[in-house]
Amino acid sequence: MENCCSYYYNMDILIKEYKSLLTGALIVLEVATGHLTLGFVIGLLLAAMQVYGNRFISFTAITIQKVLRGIPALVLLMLVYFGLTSLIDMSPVVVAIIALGLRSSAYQSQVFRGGIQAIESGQREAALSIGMSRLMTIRLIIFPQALRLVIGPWTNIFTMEVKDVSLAYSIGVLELLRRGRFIIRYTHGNAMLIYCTVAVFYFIIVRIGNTLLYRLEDKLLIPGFERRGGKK
Amino acid sequence: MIKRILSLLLVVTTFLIISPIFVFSGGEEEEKVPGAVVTPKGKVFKFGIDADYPPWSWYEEGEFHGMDVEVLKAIIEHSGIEVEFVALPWETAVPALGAGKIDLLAGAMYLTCEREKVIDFTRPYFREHGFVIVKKGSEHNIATALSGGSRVAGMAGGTQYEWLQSLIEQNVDIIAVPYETDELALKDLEAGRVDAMVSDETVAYDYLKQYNIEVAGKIYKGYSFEVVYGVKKGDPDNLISLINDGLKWLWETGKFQALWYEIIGSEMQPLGPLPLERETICE
Repeated sequence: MENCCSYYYNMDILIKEYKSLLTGALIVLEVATGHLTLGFVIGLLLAAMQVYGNRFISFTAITIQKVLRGIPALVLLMLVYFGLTSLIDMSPVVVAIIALGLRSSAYQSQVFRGGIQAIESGQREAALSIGMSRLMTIRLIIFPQALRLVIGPWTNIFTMEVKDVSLAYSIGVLELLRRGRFIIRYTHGNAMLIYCTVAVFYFIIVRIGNTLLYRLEDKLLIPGFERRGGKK
Repeated sequence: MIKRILSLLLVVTTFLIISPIFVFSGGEEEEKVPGAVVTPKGKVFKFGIDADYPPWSWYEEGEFHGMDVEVLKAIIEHSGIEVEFVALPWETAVPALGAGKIDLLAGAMYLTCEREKVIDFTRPYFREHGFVIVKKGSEHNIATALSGGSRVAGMAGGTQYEWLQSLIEQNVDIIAVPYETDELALKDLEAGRVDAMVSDETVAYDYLKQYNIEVAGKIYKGYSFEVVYGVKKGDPDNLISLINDGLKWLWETGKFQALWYEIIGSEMQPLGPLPLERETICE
């Protein structure tokens, strides 16, 4: 039995398993990047539909994001895993990106909508009055300024969504938390050590992302304009 | 100024859109065990493993280990099929088997009447009994541990907890406490928050080494299950006969016994393939 589940105490287990945990952290990054991007694209689309669409289009957009926000992420994962994969075969990582991305798009679309609407009225009239077309207005005037406002709240979404990636364990994605639990399981212990390590990894990922986003916000800052949700 | 902002945004967006390309380079743990001969269909089977259950299956240093895993690996090599191991938690694994997302499920799976209705099984390769565990130095024996308002722990959603609830239905005076993992239950057992715990034999021997506990008794009647591999109902790929043949080969060549003693130890004797008596499963 000694061969079966040998146990290690303290740092030995980290040295032994660092590769697995590191792979897990990279998978977290993969899924997070993928689903945030998907959410970004779809969220932008939904926001545009909501603000600029006619009654029917905007109603569709509103309904879609209400539904996606109202379902727990785990349930959505299961729906995509058991539902969508019966049509096309996908790896669990892709399923996680799609499911979490759809959900994230709902939250992101609301943030984008807020940004667009904040810029919208004043700037649109001014642009139209100097003869810019509607499309030009949106492209050159409104979106750039809206995106600037949006970075603050988007940092919140980023922080939230990175942590949601751990839910993907339920469909077989061997990400960081799951690997940590595996280690605890077969070593029958080291719970504090492993969970602290996992927490540190997540914290680092989130911290780096936040810092990059703050830097981006700094670069795009217009003197005299309010900064939303950032540090002073 | 606007142009600079826009070009910066363009760069960022492009980067964000390009990054998923690296995502498809895989993320799930794939362990392809190449066989000598590829099946005519060329199909790569997916074997689901619940890697949360030493000594039957666990995940160490990036690979699956355990009795179930080693037996399957040996059978795969012997029969020449191509297999991909997938790690799924138990709650998702059973419906995934039913839905055909995986072709076989391994993880100390018990043969129960309810499961028999939706899943097909291979021949059992062990008969597992339940252990009643108490804290070391506790005054409980097996009789007092399961009576008198005793708090007994069992894994939630598993056969242990179901058995406790069946006891309660038979008017046995215990309080059944569900736990999501055995670790939490064992910690509470040591702390005295529960008086006893029901666990499976093979797993219990492992716990005895790690925790301050001892065995109050072994349950023979009422909690005894055959351990099997589960296959999708209808067995479209004829996996059952393949696995059964493989188990027989392993037993006859002595490899099964060798793996057993190496992984599970010598406290229990291996049993080898047992007959699958379909008629007696559901009475």
